[in-house]
Amino acid sequence: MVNFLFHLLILMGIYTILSVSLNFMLGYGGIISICHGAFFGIGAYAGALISLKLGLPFVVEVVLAGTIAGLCGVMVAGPTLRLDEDYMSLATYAFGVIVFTVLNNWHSLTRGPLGLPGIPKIHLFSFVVDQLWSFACLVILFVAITIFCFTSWVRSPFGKVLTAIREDPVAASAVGKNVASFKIIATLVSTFFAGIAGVLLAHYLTFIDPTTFVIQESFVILGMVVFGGMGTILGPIAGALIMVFIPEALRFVGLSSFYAAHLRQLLFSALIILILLKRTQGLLGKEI
Amino acid sequence: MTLLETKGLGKNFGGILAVREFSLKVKRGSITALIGPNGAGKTTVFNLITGYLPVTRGEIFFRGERIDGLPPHKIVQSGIARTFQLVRIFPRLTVLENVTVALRNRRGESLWEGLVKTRRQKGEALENREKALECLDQVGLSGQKAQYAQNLGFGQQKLVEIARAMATEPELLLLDEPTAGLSQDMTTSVQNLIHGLKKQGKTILFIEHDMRVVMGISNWICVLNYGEKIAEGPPEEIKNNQRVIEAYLGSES
Amino acid sequence: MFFQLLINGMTAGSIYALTAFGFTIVFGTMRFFNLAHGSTYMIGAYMTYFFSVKLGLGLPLAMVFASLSTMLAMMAFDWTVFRPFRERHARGWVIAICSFALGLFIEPIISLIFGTDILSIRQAQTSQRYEFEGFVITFNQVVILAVSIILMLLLSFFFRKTSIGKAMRATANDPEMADAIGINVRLIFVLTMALGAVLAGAAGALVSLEIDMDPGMGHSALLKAIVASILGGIGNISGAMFGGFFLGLVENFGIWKIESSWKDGISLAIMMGFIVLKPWIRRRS
Repeated sequence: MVNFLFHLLILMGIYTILSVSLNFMLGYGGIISICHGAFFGIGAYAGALISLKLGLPFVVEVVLAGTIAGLCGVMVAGPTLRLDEDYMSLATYAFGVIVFTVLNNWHSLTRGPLGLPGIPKIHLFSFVVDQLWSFACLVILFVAITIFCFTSWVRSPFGKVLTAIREDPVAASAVGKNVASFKIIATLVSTFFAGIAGVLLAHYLTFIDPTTFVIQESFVILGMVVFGGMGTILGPIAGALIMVFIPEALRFVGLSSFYAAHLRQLLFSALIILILLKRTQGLLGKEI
Repeated sequence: MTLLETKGLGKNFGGILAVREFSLKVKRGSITALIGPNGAGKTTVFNLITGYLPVTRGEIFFRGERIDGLPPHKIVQSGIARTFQLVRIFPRLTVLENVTVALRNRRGESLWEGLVKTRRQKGEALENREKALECLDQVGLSGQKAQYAQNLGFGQQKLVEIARAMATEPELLLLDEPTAGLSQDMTTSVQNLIHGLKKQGKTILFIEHDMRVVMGISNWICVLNYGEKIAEGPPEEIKNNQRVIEAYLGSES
Repeated sequence: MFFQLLINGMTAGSIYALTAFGFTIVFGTMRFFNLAHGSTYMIGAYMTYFFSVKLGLGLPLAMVFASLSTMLAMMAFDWTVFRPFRERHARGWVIAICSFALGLFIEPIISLIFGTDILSIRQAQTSQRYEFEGFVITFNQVVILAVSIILMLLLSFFFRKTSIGKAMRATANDPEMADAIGINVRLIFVLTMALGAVLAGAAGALVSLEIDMDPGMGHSALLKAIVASILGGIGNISGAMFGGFFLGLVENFGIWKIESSWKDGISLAIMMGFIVLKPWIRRRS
């Protein structure tokens, strides 16, 4: 039971990092992204490969993997900056599938569908994180860092400009803001943190394969943000907590894995549709 | 002393010449009106000057330096601010935030500064708030500072836009139909506001349809028709200019 | 060899064309990318299985019923899910996300009803093979090609000559204007959804003659529809059809010697390039 709680905590933490980071670029920046899971995956694979092949210190690995994810984010954001929303959703959807295709087919790098097993434990300075509780502490640390960073940014002038850009990019440039630059920076940090979440997952599961990062995963993360409330600070956190809890609880209660996976998807998609229909601002969103 | 100058400005929209051979000199400290029938190309000229449309031919000089080809935000940074015909405020930001966000050179607009709030930053934040409130005061909207901009009436939103434009500390203000859709009272307020801005040393170039406003406050009028300048001069001359009268009468028939 | 590839390519292409058609008219008229289109196609395939294997109807009848039931299902979904968004003039990307959710909703339902094992009705109909010099064409392929072409001809006639078809085109062009001249725009929207769905259902029904079905088959179909539509110019009906055939031919002629599993990614990358470069190209001209 205790182990289950730690497991829950770890997953909730990882998804909180994902939803909070996505919320920054989507909820505050208005940058449409339905491929956040792709950066999650890129970070996971980058981290796994770095620790398997290069054995760099954990802190370096995290920063490096995050940077790789961040740069990929910029690579997508750059050309798609001026696209209108419809095409942006299509382009990011396409990117998500492309990343999965690459992960699944670049056998020499990722071993394709076989995945990467045996991801080593985290060595933090002289401490080996090999207990569930210590891993949970590490995750909580990262979650705290994430929430601190994004909350500061949201409340800072940077965040206000970002929100202004979301509201009206033309007006934002009319008051002297370099809209493209703000959007790219926002995307960079968002995807950077998604990459970090991926590193944590990789070390937690010790085995990753492409099926963890299919396009549905991006949708789950998007769902957490939308459900919890886009453009608020607590919204994505609540969304992540709730939407990780439900399927895990079902699994704990003994529902077979087969049904759990399908029900999870059923539930998620139904919840998203319902929340968009009935309460577009999400659970904790403000109705202005 | 010429603050803004366009030389032979032209804009081609896939075969349609929206603006042609438009040359204008705007004197520093003056209030210049850009008038003409609907579709004459006035807003297009604004969009060309402020960088929202690429110039097909001609040049634009601000303080003697070329600005055509620069992106809008750089043009704003060099000292030109504008308002829009159909108001473009930030709906889900408060009135105060709408203005604060426009302030020039704010600390904290980078990621690092957003994270690490130095004491200097906090001090500047207070200063900035003061500056923003001053701008709001000038348009008489300090009382609404905490309201979400989308909840304001159209006229008040126009004032917010002007306050926001002023927050960028411009030398030249481009106002696109500042009194359109406003009541008589508000129109007078805006007129007084523009006068006040001139007294502060600002230069104004504005598009307007309300002839009373145009005649009332302009030092200089430039008339556009079918993308071409057909007349230019002080209000008394323009009032009696045959071509101008025909242009307006012609457009009504 | 050439003719074999041509036949295979045209057969696949006609399926893609039908699917792309439905996708493109929904965007053209209703201004959102229907990301549930792949699942619609899947319903068509599974309904064919249901009607033919479970209920024992003959294949032709089963396919017709399958297409119609797909249409009805999607109309029900449209009424409950999409219509409320239309009423409040929601942004296109919000509806697109909703459609994505809908697609993800339909998948597990199919899995729970039919199981996740691969189903096949291919064996149920051992197909006649017609052998010619250098190539073979199966009866199934003939059916697919014939039905698709007939449908496309009918559609072409429909859009050009019938008043409803013209009304649809007018609405796609300018919904406000269409409304102003008295077209029942809401009805047109419903009909557009219905038409898109019945075509996707038909595509799914036809394809079940040739391939096995599994609950994930919708994904690939959606990708093909997207790529074909974008290549042909989104909203452009004949473009979507040509895009579909083009895709089918290119895939089969294997202009590039790449593993088939990369193909989805590559065609998507090309499409992304298209989307990104389109504004640039427009600006140059």
